[in-house]
Amino acid sequence: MNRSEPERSPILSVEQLSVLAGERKILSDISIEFPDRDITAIIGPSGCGKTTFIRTLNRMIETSPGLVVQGTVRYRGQDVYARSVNPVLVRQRIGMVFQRPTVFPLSIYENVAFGLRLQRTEETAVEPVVRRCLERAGLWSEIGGRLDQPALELSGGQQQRLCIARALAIEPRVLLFDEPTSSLDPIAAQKVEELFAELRRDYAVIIVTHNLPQAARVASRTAFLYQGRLIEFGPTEELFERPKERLTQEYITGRFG
Amino acid sequence: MHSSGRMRRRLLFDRVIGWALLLAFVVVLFPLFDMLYWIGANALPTMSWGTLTENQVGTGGGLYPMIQGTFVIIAIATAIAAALGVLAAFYTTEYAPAPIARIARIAGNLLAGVPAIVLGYFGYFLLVLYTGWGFTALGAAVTMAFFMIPYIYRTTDIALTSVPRTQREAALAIGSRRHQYLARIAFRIALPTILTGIFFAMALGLGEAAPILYTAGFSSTPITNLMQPTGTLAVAIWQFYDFPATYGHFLALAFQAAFLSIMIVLGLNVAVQLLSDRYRRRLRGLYQ
Ligand SMILES: Nc1ncnc2c1ncn2[C@@H]1O[C@H](COP(=O)(O)OP(=O)(O)O)[C@@H](O)[C@H]1O
Ligand SMILES: [Mg+2]
Repeated sequence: MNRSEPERSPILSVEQLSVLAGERKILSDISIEFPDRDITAIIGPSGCGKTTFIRTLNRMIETSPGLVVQGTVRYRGQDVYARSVNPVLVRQRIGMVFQRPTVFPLSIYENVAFGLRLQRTEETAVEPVVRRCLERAGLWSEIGGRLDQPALELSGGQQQRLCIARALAIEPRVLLFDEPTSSLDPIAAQKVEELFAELRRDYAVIIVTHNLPQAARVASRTAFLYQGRLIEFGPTEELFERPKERLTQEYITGRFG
Repeated sequence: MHSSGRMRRRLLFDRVIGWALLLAFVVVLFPLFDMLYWIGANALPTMSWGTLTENQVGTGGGLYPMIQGTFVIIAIATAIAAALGVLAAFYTTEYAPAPIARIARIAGNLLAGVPAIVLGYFGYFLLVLYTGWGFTALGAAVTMAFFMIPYIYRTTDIALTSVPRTQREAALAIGSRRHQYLARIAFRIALPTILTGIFFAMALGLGEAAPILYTAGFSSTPITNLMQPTGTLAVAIWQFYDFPATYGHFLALAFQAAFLSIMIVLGLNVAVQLLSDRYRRRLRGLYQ
């Protein structure tokens, strides 16, 4: 994969996206574009639809029955919801890390190798990838070669970084994070946060966060969602310091949420 | 002091509950131990190595053919029932539309409620008469499999539905197809419970005479292929127990068959316990 040319067009573009649960609109008419090799934060009060929104981007939303998606999501110009597109391939390109660490009850090594094994990668090719991904997730030195150790024995923060390593192993281009540090203690959370600066060099990172200082620290652009609508989207600094919308202003000054 | 009176009453209450539970425990266990004693006392005095290795001839000999028949029939039945039961549970938890899954679960419960004797008759008509096989080990194994399936199906179904949702999400998000999630993650997490279900089905199957009596018939010589009439321990008990008291050896054989059945169940229990403990250890920390 050639990663030296900076991408001109956005890697993901969302047009008039709505999600319905029966009569109720969980997301209404969201249009937004995500640049490659950059970090975008999505903020908003609980229940505003942040999780639902990022789950539409890699078609994970289809695994929860009863939700209807309208509008388009394009990954490098290709409609990810097109009939001919296999959701499995979408999820290989657009990886996801959840709110709570979700390591598999396998060894550390097998967790990272999991996605590669699904693709029947040659064993000789698996090992270097596992190592590289553990290094990128800042775990390699911490685990000191105990690759056969059950992943469930790691601490919460280490488990979350293992989930990141696992997501990296299948070489996605986009990484979605759903409140990745909200279940961690501050030190573990900081270690995860430190990874973002490095990840932005190679991936389009989209991070949902409840933690406004975190958005301000890591993201170059921030989107504010409220009651299923995209209220404001722009450079993080502008959004925090000179919000255009009254709702944004009220939210970032802590008047609700 | 006011509160200490109340405290004392609370402690007394706790103690009464404790004794009551112990009593309930004894009431439940006493008949079990009494029965074990009764079986042991009648089986052991005349039991010898020959009981395990000899054919039953005339009014003498041992239970070897029935031990062989039991192992053959239960082994084949378990293989069939485990395969079908687990696959059916995979289907209901992951693939079946909700209404079909609901119907499948009800059907599973219904099958569990069908009396063993009815299954026996069904097997008799289908696998003895209709196929023209006559009494065979294979027909008995298939009938026994249908007796076992609902237990394996239901425990597997419950085990699979209680796998944390987040594991499924994580597997799918990394590009698993559903069968890959089932085979690599869900099955691994459900395995200790599935094994317990299989063990339960085997233990119940070992004790059932009815499905086998009408499909395998009985034999006091060992089988050389699956298409012969076959004796089992459960049927041996039924066969030998009713002889008049003058046939003391038959009565002893009946008790010995019962004793061996219990020993087999005990052995299975230990084996399954060890195995499922080993698999459960891999899951430590999963449910926090
Ligand atoms: N599968 C679903 N069916 C019906 N309503 C849902 C479903 N998933 C989420 N919702 C609703 O959508 C809204 C947004 O939820 P969510 O995306 O989880 O918000 P957030 O992540 O911002 O807290 C909530 O009101 C929630 O109750
Ligand atoms: Mg959420």
